[in-house]
Amino acid sequence: MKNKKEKVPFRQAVKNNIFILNLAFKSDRLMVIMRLVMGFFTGLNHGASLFFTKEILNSLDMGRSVEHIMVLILLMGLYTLVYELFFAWYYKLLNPTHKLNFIRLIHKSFFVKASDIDLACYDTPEFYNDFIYSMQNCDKSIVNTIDQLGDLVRSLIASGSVFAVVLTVDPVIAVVILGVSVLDMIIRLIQNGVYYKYNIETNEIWRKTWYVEKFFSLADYAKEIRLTDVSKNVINEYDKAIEQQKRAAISMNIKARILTIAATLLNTALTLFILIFMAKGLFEGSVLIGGFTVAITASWKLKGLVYDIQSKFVEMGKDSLFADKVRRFMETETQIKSGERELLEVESLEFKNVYFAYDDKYVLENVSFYIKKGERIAFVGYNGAGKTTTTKLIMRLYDVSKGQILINGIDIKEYKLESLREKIGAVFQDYKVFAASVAENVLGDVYTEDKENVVLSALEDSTFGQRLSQLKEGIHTELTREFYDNGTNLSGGENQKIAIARVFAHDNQMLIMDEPSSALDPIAEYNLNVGIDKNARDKTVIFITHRLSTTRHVNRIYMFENGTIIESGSHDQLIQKGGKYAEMFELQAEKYRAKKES
Amino acid sequence: MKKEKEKNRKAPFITVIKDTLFALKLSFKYAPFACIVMLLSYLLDSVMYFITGTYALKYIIDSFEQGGISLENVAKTVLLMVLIPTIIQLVVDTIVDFAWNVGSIKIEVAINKMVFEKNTQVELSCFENPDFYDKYVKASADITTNVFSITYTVFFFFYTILNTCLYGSVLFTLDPVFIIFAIIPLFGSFFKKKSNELWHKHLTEDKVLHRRCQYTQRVFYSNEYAKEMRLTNAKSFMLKRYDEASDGRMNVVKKYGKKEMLLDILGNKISSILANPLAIAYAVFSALVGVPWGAPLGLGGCAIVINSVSELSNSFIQITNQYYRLHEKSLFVEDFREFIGYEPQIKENPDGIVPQVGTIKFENVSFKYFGSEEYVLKNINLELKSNEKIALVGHNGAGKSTLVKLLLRLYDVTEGRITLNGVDIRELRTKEYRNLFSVVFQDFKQIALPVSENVLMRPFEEGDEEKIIEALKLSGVYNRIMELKDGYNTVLTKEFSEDGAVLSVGEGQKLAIAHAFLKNSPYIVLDEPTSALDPVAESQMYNNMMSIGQGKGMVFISHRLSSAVSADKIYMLDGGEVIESGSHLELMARCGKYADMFNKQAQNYVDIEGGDVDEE
Repeated sequence: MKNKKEKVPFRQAVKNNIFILNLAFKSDRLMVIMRLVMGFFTGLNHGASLFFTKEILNSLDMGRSVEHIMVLILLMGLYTLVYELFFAWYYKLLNPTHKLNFIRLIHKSFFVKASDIDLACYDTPEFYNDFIYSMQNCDKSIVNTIDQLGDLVRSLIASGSVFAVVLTVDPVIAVVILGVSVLDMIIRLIQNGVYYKYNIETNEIWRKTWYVEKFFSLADYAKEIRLTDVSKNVINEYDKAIEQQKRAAISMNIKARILTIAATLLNTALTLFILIFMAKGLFEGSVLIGGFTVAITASWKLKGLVYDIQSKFVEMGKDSLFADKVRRFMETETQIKSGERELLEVESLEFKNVYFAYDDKYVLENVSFYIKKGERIAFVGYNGAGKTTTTKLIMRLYDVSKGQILINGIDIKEYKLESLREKIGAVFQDYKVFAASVAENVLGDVYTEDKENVVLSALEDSTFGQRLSQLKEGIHTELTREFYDNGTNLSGGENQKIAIARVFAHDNQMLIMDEPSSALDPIAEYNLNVGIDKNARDKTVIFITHRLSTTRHVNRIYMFENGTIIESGSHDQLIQKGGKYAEMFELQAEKYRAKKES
Repeated sequence: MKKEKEKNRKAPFITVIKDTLFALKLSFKYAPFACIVMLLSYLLDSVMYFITGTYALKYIIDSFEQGGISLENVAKTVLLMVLIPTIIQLVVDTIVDFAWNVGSIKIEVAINKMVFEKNTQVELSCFENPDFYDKYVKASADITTNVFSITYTVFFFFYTILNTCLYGSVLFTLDPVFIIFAIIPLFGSFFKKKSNELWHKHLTEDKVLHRRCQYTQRVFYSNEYAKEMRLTNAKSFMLKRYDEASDGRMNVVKKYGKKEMLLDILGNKISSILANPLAIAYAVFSALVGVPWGAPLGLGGCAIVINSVSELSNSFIQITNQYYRLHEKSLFVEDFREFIGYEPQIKENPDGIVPQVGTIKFENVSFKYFGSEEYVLKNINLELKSNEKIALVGHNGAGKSTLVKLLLRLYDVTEGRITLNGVDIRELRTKEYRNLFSVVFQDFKQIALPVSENVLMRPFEEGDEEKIIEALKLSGVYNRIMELKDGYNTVLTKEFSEDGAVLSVGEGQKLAIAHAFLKNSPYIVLDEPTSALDPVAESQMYNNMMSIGQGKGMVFISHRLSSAVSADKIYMLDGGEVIESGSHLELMARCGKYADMFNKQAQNYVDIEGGDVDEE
């Protein structure tokens, strides 16, 4: 299935390359033009050097004066000097700066797009696998496409100029060389098909062997390898894959070999033809030595150029796969659009018969609830019951499939996205810390001096204070080692505290805390809860939790199961009811209680 | 191993030769025939190129100028001259194609297996040591590519040598002076060396900045950061950083560009700009005016000079290039050789004492990581009887996991000793000792093998099928597994194909438990999950874990103290030391750290009338 998709028809490949060229042209016109001009000149150079060879030898043959020939040689030297200077200047100075500038422009335009597209796109594996990888490598691929194109121009111009020089020597030879080149090209393209098929066939094998190499070299499996015999099973898989690869290699070889033999015979015939045909001309006096030498050299050159041209086609075909992905990325439409209204106060939050589906499968069905300002709410339930999805809907990371979410009685779609996300702060379970200073991480924005107190008090409330005092540069400490080798790597629990400080540092009115203490040990968890209480005294707080101990003091608990709310009420009400919540609580509490009583 | 040292690594000539030979030996050892025919094919290539490109030309022009040979005879000779080597070449190449395609796979497999074997032998701490990991694991990851690259370079070297001889002899017979013109560009190799050094510096400076750009790209594109990017304004400072890094890269190009340009011309272009035109001018002069020390060069001679003087000078340049290439690869091979030669500190010890199940004791055990000053564990004394359950509790980073790794002999103690039945575990057979344990780690990784083999964790044997089914049933995951496409033969993970099954963390953990059931070893080690599971699943998991431990020695790392309650003895760790130990009741009575921790967790579960914990 996948293999079929990978193969892009010729016309599509051309279209895709034009798309990339267009994109590049819009970003940095000068770079693209210069690259193509460069291709033209380097191509012409092939013809020029042949031309000089021919002229010098023919002049000799025709008995021109020494001075005349010396001037020719001097011209050749000067031409080469200018060409080489230009060449070195372009490749060492101009092109690298152009490229860097171009890469920056391309990425920045993609950055904007990437941070706008809907989060839902990230949940489809296709998007994740294709797009993200392509975007990471888009600079290389686009620059590569343009380089290939420049090189293609070079090879074509080179072939043309070489051909033109041969044409002046002897039209018959020129036509024969051209004919053989075309045949050679066809054979090579067929051969490429064989290699392509082989690559597709061995792709799976390659994946396996790569995995096995990873298996042994990553620290992930190191413990299992030492404690069990599982490495034998893996080696077994490896051996099987290698056997398969050997078989595929042999069958590919037979086909490729036949084509190679055909190509070799063809080229040998051409060489022989030129040698003998030209020898005849030489003996009969119709050909000069210059022409003879040029014809031989030209046939060699063209052989190389044919190879070049076909390999460029192959490369461009590969690039076009990538172009397809960029195109789809650029064409992705943002579904979640900002409203007009400013959100100032969060008086109430209401879910009205909300449904939400990923790929036609409902993960939330008919969820309704009403939360007033200042309330403490807990969402509890099994993994996958829909708790986190609910909070993502509140933050408008997704939009509902059916139903409505209202804030102060108004659909949240009417509010400005920015102000909604400013007034409601959320910490998710899979929080991430940026490679930036502590202050920038806490603010989620550029740091300015007037924010110092905000940052400090947020960190204090999230119980990061003690660790902060150990950091030499305080809130300016650089986190992670992505940018600086002396950056600080925090532990999982510490990172979580930074993520929590991020919501504390904002003037928000509602907090959503998804398992805020999952990476913390009991004492730290206890302290954190005190910090949350302090910071969020007047705020509405929604906790998502597995630990039912936190739910005891909340105003209301919503118990989720399979995407619906099955129970709601205060802890005492739910315990009295004796339903699922009570059962869950009992499971956790019994061990603590049993010992307490004994 | 220090970073600064890495930057200026240079291999002396002798080392380059040694490393090259090492790589060649590997190739020749595992595919001798393929290597020999491959070399032959390279040499034939050189001959063919010489004959069709130059020699035939020379022959025809010479016969024409000398006269006396008929065109027919010339044609016949040329025909033979070209056809015979072509046919030989076709035959050899056909053999090479098959021999090398299979041979290269053989070489790759053999080298990879060496790496696998070594990776299995070196102790776990090597994997956790970033210096070791970066240097050796990366060196061994690319070793096959490097070995092939060296092999090809050496073959190509012989090709170039032959080329040099062929073209050299043609030009030499015309006039020895031409050799001088061909040698002139070699003086450029001094600049070339400088140019390489400069390029290396350029890359090193750029690498850091490039890495920063790539990180920023990841932040914007990957889904790990997607939520934060939408909920905060992190865009602002990440873009600023991206610009800074990009500007930095631009400055690096500007800083080195001009010098690089100059060195490139001096190093690579002398032949085309200066030496070749000079050689041609000399040839023309010699043909038309004549030189005092040699026979006048004919027209044919001139044609040959134009045709081949650049071939000769290129060959000379190639030789130096090839050396640089080998030099560059040599650094990687050097690392690889060190890696392969590394003596693991924890050895298999096949002649050691056979371990007997009994009491395991930690006697004044201290541990610090290699090269670190700080002790991770200090003076630990601990005892595990073969039918006892002990719990390790404490803060994150208190040393619980390290202690377990010492127990399993994944590390060796720095001071003190661990004994089994009074025998130091370092004197026991490593493999058999480790085999006494079944371990369920928190970070259990699903392996891209069928479910059944994930449970077995060893090759399949007769009668295993029933055992697997039973184990899956005992761990409570049988029904879920049978829902998968191929039941317990379903391959896990999507590494190999999109059809692979991906189990949830909880289900994966149940497989690890099934493995423990199946293995039925005398000791069980459990690293309790922290947060991945919901309460009901966690409670089931806990009961499952306890059920395998019946009548066995069991150690569990416990994050929720509720599960520590049932242990025979609890060890509370703090800062690498055991600060309290005893049964739950003893520790509660003591009102120490354990009691404090327990009460904090318990307070909300315990009925209000029963608990006065809030006042503590």
